[in-house]
Amino acid sequence: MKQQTIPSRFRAVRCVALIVGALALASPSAMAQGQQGIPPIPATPARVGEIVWARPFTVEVPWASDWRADHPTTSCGWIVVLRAESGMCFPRQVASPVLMANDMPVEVIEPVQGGTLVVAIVRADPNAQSLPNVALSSITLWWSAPALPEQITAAAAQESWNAASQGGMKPVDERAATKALDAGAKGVGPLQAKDRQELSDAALAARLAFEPVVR
Amino acid sequence: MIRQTRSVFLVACCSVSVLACPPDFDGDGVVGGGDLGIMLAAWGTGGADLTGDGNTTGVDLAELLSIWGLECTTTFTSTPLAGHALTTAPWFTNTDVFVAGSAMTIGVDTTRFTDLVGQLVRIYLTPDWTESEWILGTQLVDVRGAFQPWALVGGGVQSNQVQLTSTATLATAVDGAIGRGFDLVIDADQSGTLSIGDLVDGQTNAGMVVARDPSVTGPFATTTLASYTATGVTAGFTAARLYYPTAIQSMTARPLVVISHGNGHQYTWYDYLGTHLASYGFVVISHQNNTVPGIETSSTTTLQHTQAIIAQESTVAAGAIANRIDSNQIVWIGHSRGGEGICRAFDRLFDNAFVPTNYITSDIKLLISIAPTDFLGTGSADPHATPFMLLYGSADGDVCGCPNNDITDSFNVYERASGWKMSTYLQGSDHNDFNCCGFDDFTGPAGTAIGRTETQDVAKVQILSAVLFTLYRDPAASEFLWRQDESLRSPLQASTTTVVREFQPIATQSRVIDNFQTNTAPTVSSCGGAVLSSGTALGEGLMQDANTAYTWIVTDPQNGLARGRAADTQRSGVFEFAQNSSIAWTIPTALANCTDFAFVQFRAAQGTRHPNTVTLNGDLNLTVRITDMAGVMSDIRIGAYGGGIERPYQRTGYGTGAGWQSEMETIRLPLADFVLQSPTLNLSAVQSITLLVGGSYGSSVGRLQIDDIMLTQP
Repeated sequence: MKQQTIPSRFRAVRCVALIVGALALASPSAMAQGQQGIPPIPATPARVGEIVWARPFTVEVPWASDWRADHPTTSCGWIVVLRAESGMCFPRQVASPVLMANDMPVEVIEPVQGGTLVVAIVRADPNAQSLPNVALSSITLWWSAPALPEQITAAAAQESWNAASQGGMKPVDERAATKALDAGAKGVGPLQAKDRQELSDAALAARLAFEPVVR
Repeated sequence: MIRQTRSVFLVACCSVSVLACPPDFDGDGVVGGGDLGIMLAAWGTGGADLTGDGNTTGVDLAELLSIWGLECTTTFTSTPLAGHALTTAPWFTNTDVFVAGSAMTIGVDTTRFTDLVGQLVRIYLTPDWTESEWILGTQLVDVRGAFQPWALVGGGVQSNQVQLTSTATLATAVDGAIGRGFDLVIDADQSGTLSIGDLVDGQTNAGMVVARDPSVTGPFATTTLASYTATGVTAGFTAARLYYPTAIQSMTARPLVVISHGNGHQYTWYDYLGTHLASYGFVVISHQNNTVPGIETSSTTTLQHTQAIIAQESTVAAGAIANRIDSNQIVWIGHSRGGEGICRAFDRLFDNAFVPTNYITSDIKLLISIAPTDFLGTGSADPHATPFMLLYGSADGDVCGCPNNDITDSFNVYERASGWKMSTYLQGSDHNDFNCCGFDDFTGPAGTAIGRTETQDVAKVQILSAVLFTLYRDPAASEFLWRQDESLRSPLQASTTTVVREFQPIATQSRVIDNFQTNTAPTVSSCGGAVLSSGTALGEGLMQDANTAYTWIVTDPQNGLARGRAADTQRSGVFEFAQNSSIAWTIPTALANCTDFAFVQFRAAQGTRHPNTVTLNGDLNLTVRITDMAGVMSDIRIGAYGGGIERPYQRTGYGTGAGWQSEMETIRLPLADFVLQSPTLNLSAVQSITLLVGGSYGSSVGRLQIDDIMLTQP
């Protein structure tokens, strides 16, 4: 009955909120008993930061994703590495902003306290070659309101995606997507994983390449 | 055991009882054919149990045959002796547990044992003999090497207390128990044998228990397998760490403890718990937990990893634990999202929504949640009737117990539990003090943080006690759960650390006087008796803070009780006082015989940020009165036992003022102490139980939330 809600605002509003929040934290009374260590939850919906690495994948054994209530079957997509402001990806216990690829929550791999890198598995529908049937640059990666991904229904995801896209949320920049794919797949091609475990291992390896020290 | 009515009499009202000869069932003074006939008639029941296991079996028959023909001439008096001094009336209370190295005291009430006044007696500290052994063991031998002489005088127990000497050499338990039991004898005639007029503490259970410090590593060397891969577990979450007693193959099968971490935490962060529990003889795993999608996924990994380690016990760690997991005894421990996850996992078992291949619902003996979230709420995050423990830190900056967000209110989960339940609230601990490596989320007044080491030491004591109590009914563990922290704690715990405990038995071991769940008019208790208030007004309501702030306002009488969601139904009472006042719970005649019970207990919390609480600014003290039908009254101040009802942690935020969520604390008073205070009090005909507040009875002002007034068995 007292669920915390975060108002939906865009970047400019969020910046104001962050400044106000920072000022509040700087006041002596707040400093005495402010919640330390946990960055405030930024406003959503919000764009993701830079996409720095991406590699398409396909798996021999599809899995039912736990990241949306209807458990969509997943067999291909991209492993991506993104930069994000720490408040977005901070692994708090209460509900956190959900990273979305259009209307599908993205499977985030073991978020790290204080990290600004997000390593994630982006789902796609397969083409005839069992690879993503769309280009990475056609996908909009964005942060939606705090929730538990497993509780997000397909209908609710679609609704919030519609609202976000009408609000101006844009797909990944094509040049950035190309650059990320060059970093991740050039010379090695898509990852042909046996199963979800092998995919997870590859995703963790990707994170370690960017953030060698696991906190 | 054998003389059931006599044992009950002992428990309830502390009066003496004479043990003649337990196997002499027919009372003819000789162990013989008549007794054998009675035993056979009671076969398979508790009716002729000699060993204390609650059943009459071949073991009891062997005991009886071993003393066949014995003439039962030895008589002695069975009465509690061990305990500790109180600074106010009743001046002494009988307790069983002493931490090794601490002062161990016995007391004798010479107003009852008048024959002993002016006598020189011998104190014998003996091994923990069974009831039958007392019959045969008439020769007294002191484990300290020599008895202790003692001269008794008049003046009752206040004048007849003595510290046991030479206790430093007493060995503690060599197995995984916390304590080792001993019996006590007052050898009244200094004969060196058990004889008429001697006093015995320990006729059935141990008279006293010398406990190791439960925060210190246990007796078994341990081995840790840093990581193994579990099969049949959600991909990406297959890793787990294993802890076990190194010599496990020389032991019987061991209970399994499963640790499920929280969001952003790692399975490698709970070594302190894994090694500690393994050192007391448990097999422990800490596993990767799928917490980011939510609680359902987290519960799945708990269920899967439990199944996996049982299935893989022959191969993991190169077979080191092969056939040594007792899969009928499983404990789940979870932290934050993992803390809710284990409750959801149990709920799924309960609902048959998940059917394991190698364990069943009843194998889950205990759930321990550390600062759990409450995403799923009523009906899902639910321990049901499984024993449940909650640990929580008042300075939690993550699962904060905030009034505006039910997800952060860990005590919602506690209140839903309907079996044995216990909580430990640590003032000054934060969320990640319960693991090794989480970020610093401390949120509270400067200078009040107790830190990771202190938090984990307390957690080790409480978790180990909960496990040993639940699995084995370890008497030492029990007292670490219900006695106020001021009265029993690890010697290593800082004197400034405040720990608040709740402990509630199951319905079959208690009699509820008022839990505010039924008969919701404030003038009628749950058991149907009248509730009479004088000088104050008792209110009742749901255990739910009604708004999003902790500021005190009159329209939110349950302010601070962040213990339920809208769909939850747990209720409690509330009242305030600034003068002498009382609330009397009248006991219906049909329930007036209270001799089946050992304690009167209730739980209470100071109303956070209420003006009276602010004025008091300290622990709240009050008096409990028992009145019998003849009008005999016995009063005891709860502060006599070393602590009152704790001042709320002075955390700010969410409105004006200082004070965080309501800290319910169990106050448990031995009925025997009321009799000690007023020897003519008749516990077989209790008329009322009264709380007396105000300057004449304790603190001069206060506001209390109160619940679960009940009589309980040991």
